Amino acid sequence: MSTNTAVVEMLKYYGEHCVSLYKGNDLFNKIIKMLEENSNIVLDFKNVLTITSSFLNASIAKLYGQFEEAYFLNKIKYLNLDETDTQLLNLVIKNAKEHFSKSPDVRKLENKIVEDTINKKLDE
Amino acid sequence: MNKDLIKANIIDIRNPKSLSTSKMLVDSNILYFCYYDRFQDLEFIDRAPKKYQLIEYPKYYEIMLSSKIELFIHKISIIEFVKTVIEAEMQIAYCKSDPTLNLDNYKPKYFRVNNPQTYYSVQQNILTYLASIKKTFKMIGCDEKDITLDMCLSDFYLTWQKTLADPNEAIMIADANKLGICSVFSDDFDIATFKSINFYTANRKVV
Repeated sequence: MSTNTAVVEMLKYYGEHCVSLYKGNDLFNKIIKMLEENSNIVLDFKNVLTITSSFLNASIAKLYGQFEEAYFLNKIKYLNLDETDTQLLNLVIKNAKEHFSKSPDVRKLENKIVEDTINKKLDE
Repeated sequence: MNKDLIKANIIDIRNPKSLSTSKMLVDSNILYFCYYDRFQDLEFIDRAPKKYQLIEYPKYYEIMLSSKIELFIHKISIIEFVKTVIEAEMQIAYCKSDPTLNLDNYKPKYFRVNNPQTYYSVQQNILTYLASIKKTFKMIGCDEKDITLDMCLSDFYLTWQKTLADPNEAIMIADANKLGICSVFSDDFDIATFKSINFYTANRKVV
């Protein structure tokens, strides 16, 4: 099995500021492709000045809805994140895990409640 | 809507022309759309922002950052952001505790006082968001010279953590403390949760 390491220089692909959803989605798709190729992934944030939750949600957090954590946890490493950005990443991951850990039955109930709420609003 | 009410010059950020300003004041809702992350949970309880807000504002914020214009945030907007996040986080926590997810029964203050550990945990999370925010902005709305956003937020957070108060109460107490004012006259129970305060009250929960 291939165990090559793919390094994503975030500055090169996304610039100094990683904020928008479209950049986050692009990174997400990149990661999916590399995981399918069985690569180990290094996300290098050297010289990236801004990282926000909006970007991390569209990229890293979404992985937790797509796969079991065990599948990709040891395959992705983060380089050159300062303490603030590391804490933000950890918080986004923690919240994503909590969100996607809900069972299908709970999600079904929640979806029904959302639907009922929307229908109630339409009737008003 | 009565268009006569609109007096400002409107720039549609969906079709941005080149930025013609070197300074921008950023409102609390922009911080919320860019720095808060639990919108998928809020969708389940019909409290999430609109889709365009989560797409357009981060996109334009990124454009502003790349243009290297100076970004400013008012002290009040920081507090507004904190309050919005608290509301979101506590509603999410409430819905976890109530399987019917019926927010009609949700009483914010009651839930907070009866779930202090949840509130303290939310305060910790907010510290993480604020740490990210203060990397980017300069603060306005403070009379003291040379006070940085970092200093203001440190004072606020040190005063606020492990209390059950709203953030605006915390900033009020923090500012008062800096002037040597430690006595507060109020009926608000939340004030009782601050350390080192002389709380003058007739609040029945406290006296």
